[in-house]
Amino acid sequence: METNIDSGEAMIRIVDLHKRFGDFVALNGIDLDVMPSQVVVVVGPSGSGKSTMLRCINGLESATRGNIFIEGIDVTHKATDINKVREKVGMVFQSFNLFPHLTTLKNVTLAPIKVKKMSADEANEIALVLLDKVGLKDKSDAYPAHLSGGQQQRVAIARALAMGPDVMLFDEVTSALDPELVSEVLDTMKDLALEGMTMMVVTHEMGFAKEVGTRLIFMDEGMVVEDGDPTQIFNNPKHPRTQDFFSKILSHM
Amino acid sequence: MANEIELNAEGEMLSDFEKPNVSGWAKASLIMGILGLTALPFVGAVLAIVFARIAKRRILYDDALAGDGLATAGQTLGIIGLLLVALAVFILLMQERLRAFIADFFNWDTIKFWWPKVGRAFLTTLKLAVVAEFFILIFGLFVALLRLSKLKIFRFIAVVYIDVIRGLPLILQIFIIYFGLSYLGLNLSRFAAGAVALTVCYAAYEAEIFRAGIESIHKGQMEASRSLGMTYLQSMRYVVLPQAVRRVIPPLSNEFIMLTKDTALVAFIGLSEAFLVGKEGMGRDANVTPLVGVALFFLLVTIPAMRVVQYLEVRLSKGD
Repeated sequence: METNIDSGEAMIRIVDLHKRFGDFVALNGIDLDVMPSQVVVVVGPSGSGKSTMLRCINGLESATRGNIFIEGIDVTHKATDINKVREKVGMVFQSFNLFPHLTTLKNVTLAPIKVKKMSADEANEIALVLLDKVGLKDKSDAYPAHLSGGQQQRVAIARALAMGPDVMLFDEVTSALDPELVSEVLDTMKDLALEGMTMMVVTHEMGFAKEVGTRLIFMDEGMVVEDGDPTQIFNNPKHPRTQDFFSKILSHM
Repeated sequence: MANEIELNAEGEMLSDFEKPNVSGWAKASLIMGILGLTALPFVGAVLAIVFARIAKRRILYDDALAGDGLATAGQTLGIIGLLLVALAVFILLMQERLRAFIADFFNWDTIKFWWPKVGRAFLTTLKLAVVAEFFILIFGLFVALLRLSKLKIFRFIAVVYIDVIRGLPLILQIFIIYFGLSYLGLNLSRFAAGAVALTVCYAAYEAEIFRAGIESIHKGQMEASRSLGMTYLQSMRYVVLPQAVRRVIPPLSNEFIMLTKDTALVAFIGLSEAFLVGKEGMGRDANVTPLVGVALFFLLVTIPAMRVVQYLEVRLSKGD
């Protein structure tokens, strides 16, 4: 797939994105540009449309109106080969979604072998490097059921990375984890950010937003309410809804 | 105190029989129980039960008295003894009826001649079941995928097919396919027509089973797989179906057992499988023995198959 991207162009460009589920309006006009290597943290109350926006980006949901461009390619256009786009956009889910009938290694190598037509040896090599990177090389022959939640999520990250994406989407990836397992996943994501990966992270982990995020977006009721530097927004939220949200969150942090 | 472990002079454990304070009634009950099965039928058995009753009541109210196990043993032997007597009486009284029953259901001459024939014909039964099953699985899965398609027209075709087939008796479908096709000029053998009819019918049921299995797989599996760039068919083939098939093996195995039995219906278009041969034997020898043979051959396959399905259900559910 050719990318129509030069160094100044956005990795992801969202233009007037609307999404409706029946009568419910999930996204009510999103305009957003994500530049390469940005780590965009998306926060907001539940129902604000954060996950929906992420899922529209890689085509798991189809937009009701508006356009999404990934590296210049219009994802929302009917003629676009969505499978090719998804090779460039990796996604990690709240419920991990590892393939239970395959070993960790096979989980990671399945897509490279079937989609990129890699040989098993090539794929295994890449997979082992990635599993090593997330600290789970010794678990490569284990089945997902034998791994803890944190371990499974790290495998899921390695699996998404195996396709060599240019963007990684994280949809509340630590929300289903026991608290003591959260940091190992966030550390992995931090390493990824430091390597320059473009990331969009929907999360409730404010510590991560402050420490690793380069941009914070607060969403509410399907719209972007505030958008800027994480630390600035935390210390000085401009919009009343943002203030309200943070006061509720930070009151028990 | 009756529960303490007692030792004799050498320090070895005493058996119930040897302990002091064992109820005499209990010992007598056991002896009578043994006699009731050997030298003294009926009387011995009755006494064994009576003595056991007495013994148990005494043991219950006397802490120092032991031998409950002996009493139970004696009582059990007594009951067995009574049952054997009852059986002997039954056989004696029903002699004539029993002889008639055997002549009709287990006629030795008929068994010698017809059961081997039925057995050979049963091979056709099995062959038909296996051949049909092969096509049923393929076609059933295909229809399930049609039913789940994003395209409305495919879904419509699948629903119509499933509803119509599941709404009609199998015997009717067998007749329509065999005679209908021959009127159209397509002359299928009875075996082939039977196989086609069974396939068309059972595929409709198994399509729904496959669909339920596929839908039971968490949609996150498909989402994760598609997010990695795999196509819908690749995701089905490598992620969803391997998991779904595992789940539907027990219900599909049950369907196979039903299919084996339903092959008998193809007798009605004249295929020489076990039931048809059995029916012929019944006509010739004027007794039911050939059909009893057919029944036994079926049970020989279906009952072990049911146990296998039970085992599979347990084994496969553990994996989940």
